[in-house]
Amino acid sequence: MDAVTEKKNVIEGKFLTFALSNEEYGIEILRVREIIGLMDITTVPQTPDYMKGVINLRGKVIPVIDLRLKFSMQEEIHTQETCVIVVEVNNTSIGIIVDSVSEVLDIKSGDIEETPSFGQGIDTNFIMGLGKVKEQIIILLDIESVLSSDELEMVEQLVKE
Amino acid sequence: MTIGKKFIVMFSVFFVAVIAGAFFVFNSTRQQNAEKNTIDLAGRQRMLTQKYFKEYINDMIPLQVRYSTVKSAEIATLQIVEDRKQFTKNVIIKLKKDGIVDVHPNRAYADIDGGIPLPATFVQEVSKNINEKGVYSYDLLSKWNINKEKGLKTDFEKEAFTYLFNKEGKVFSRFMVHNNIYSLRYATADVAAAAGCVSCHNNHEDSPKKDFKLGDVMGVLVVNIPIGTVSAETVAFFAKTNDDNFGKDSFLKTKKVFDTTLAALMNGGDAPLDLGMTKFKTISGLTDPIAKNKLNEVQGLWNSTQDALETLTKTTPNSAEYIVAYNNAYKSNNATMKAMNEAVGIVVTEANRQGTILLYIQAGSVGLVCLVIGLGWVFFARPLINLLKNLVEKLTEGANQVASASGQISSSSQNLAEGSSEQASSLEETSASMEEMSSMTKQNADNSKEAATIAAQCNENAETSNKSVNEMNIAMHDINESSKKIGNIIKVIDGIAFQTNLLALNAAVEAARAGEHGKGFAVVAEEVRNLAQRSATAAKDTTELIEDCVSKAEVGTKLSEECKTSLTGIVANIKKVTSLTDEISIASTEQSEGINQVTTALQQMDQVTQQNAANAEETASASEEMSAQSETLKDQIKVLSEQVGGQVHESSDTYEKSHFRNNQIEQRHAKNISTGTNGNGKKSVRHHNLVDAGELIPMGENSVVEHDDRMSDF
Repeated sequence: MDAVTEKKNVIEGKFLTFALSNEEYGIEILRVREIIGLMDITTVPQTPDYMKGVINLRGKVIPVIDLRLKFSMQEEIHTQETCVIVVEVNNTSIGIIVDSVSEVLDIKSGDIEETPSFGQGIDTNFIMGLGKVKEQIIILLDIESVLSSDELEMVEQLVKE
Repeated sequence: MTIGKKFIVMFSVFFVAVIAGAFFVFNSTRQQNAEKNTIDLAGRQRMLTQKYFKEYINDMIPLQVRYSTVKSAEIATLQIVEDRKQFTKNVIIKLKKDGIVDVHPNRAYADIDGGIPLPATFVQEVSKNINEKGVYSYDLLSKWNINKEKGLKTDFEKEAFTYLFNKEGKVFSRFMVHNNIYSLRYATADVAAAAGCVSCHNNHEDSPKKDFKLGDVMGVLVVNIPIGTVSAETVAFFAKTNDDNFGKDSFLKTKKVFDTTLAALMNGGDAPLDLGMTKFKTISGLTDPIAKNKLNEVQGLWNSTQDALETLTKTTPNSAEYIVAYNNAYKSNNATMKAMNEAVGIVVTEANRQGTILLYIQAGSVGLVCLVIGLGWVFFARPLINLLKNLVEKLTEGANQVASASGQISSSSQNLAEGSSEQASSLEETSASMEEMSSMTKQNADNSKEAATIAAQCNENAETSNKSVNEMNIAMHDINESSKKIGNIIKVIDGIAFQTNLLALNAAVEAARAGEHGKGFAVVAEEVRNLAQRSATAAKDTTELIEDCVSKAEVGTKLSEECKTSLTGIVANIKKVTSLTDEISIASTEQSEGINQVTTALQQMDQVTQQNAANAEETASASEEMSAQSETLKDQIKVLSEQVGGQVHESSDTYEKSHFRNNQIEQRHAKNISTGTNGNGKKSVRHHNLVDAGELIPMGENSVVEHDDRMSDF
């Protein structure tokens, strides 16, 4: 279980899969801190659209990003299944709003394919690979690249405030 | 001034002129008639003088003839008597006295020797010879005739003998028919003049009477002078020969007429109009002194003519004095006639003079009347004629328009009549249709009532259904509520499952973090997650079922809602239907009433239409009449225009008189004026009379015809 070699290569392990706009995405389980249901979001002014605001999670203030808007998808109305996945990036907890959380999957490297280049509104750097589970393709996201450093700074600032 | 007043003025002037003229005319005619009468009478006097003379002379002819005949008879008688006397005295008596010869005076002397005829025989024999010659004849007849043939045979002979025997006169004569000849029978007495006669006769053996004395009438000597053949004229001619009646039937009458007329002419009085003096005319005597003098002259000459004629009568006919007297009478008569002529001439001249004056007066009055007529024409008749012409024009136009309008009216009213008839028939049909409609409406009403009833029932049913549906709805609603509640619960469960899932995931995350130690936890978490999944699935299924149920319930609710809606709709519709059927019912009733009204109206309309048709027919006939009347009017107007001599403008539509016709009319008009028949006809004729009267000369003669001295025309 080498999780270090290449980003593109060995990424087997457990992934938390979630749905976003009818597409399954996956995040490494280690990155995931917590999964919570949707709760009230306190909006913060002068923030980009995808920065929804902050939530209070057991005393802890966590900024929340709408992944849809981040991926330049159309914003959907939050349902009962909408969850917030608290991920940890650079020791910072950020919540991302997803449509629904599916399961934890154990994906073998054999089921992971390389990312083809296509224009789907997703920068392929974000994508670690494509997993195949039961005829279904799961886009394995590199959460770090998803959230850029600028944003992380912003996030940190937010946290500090 | 109105036409009437103009008429009055015209006619008064005209009337006055006519009356004045008539007065003149009448007066002058009367005058001239009187003068004419006078002239006639005066002229007649001329004729009368001639007539008188002629008649006198005519009447004297028989006298002359008688005289001559009597004279001849006298001569013959004398001759015969003397002859016999001589024979008796100088022959018989002397011979016997002388005694020379034994003479035997005997009737049949021829047979006797020495026989000599008796005096009577002598006379008889001579008479026989004479008679045979036929110039004249005589017979010696007696009552006591010795000669058997010489008796008194005829009435005349007997009468004459009686007359002469009784010595009533010397001569008994008569003009009569004797032996078929008109003759004078002149009988004288045969007196015994000589003793020898007496003695002879007394002694004669054949003598029936033998006591003759000297101076006795022994017989009669009848001399027969033939005058002429027997005819009515000769008989009539000698019938007039009666001295007492001389001229009574002829010239005396004429004289009387002449005298009366002359007296009337001179002094005025009744003048006889006819020669029979049965009709008289009173005339006034001539006033002109010259004429009067002339008439006096005439009177004198007339008297002298009569004297001369009387002298002539008294003069012995066929003597020199006779001829002289005749000439005197003739000359006197002629003078009378001439004087009379002159008198007539004087009167005629005077009459002519007066006639000329009157002629001038009449000419003046004619002129006046003509002037009046002219003025009348100019001021009255012509404007009137113009007016009438205009009137006729306008009337013609009007009549034409009336004619055309009446034609139009006629046609349109005929159309109207037809239309009305059609309308009437249509109305009949409509009426029938209305009847059907009425019955249909009634049916409708009944049906609608039924429908209303059924609708009411339906309504009730719908209400019931509605209630049921409502209940069902409530039940459904309850079901729904329950389902929702179940759903909520399931949601809770689902939420729990979800949270459990999350927790399981979190647990898996933590377990992953934990690494090796967490594997068992990871399995547990996995199991929990599976359970959560199962729970979620169950919840989902249940949710689905519930949802299904809910949806079904919702569907059911919807359906019941729909049902309700439908029922409500049905109810509403039923209500609508009910109201509609009510309305229909009402409407049907109203419709029925309406139809009744319409029917009534149709009947009225029918009546009215029939009336219209009749009226239209009447109008058509009236307009036909009007058309005919307007034609008559046009004809009358034509007649009037002809009378007026109208030259109606040729722009007029129907007045198509040609110029020729107009000329005819004008000519006729002109003729009317010239002949004066414009009410002046009387005048002109009278003028004629007047003019003629002035020139009337009685007898149609202007000259005196002098009879020539030979009086050959008598």
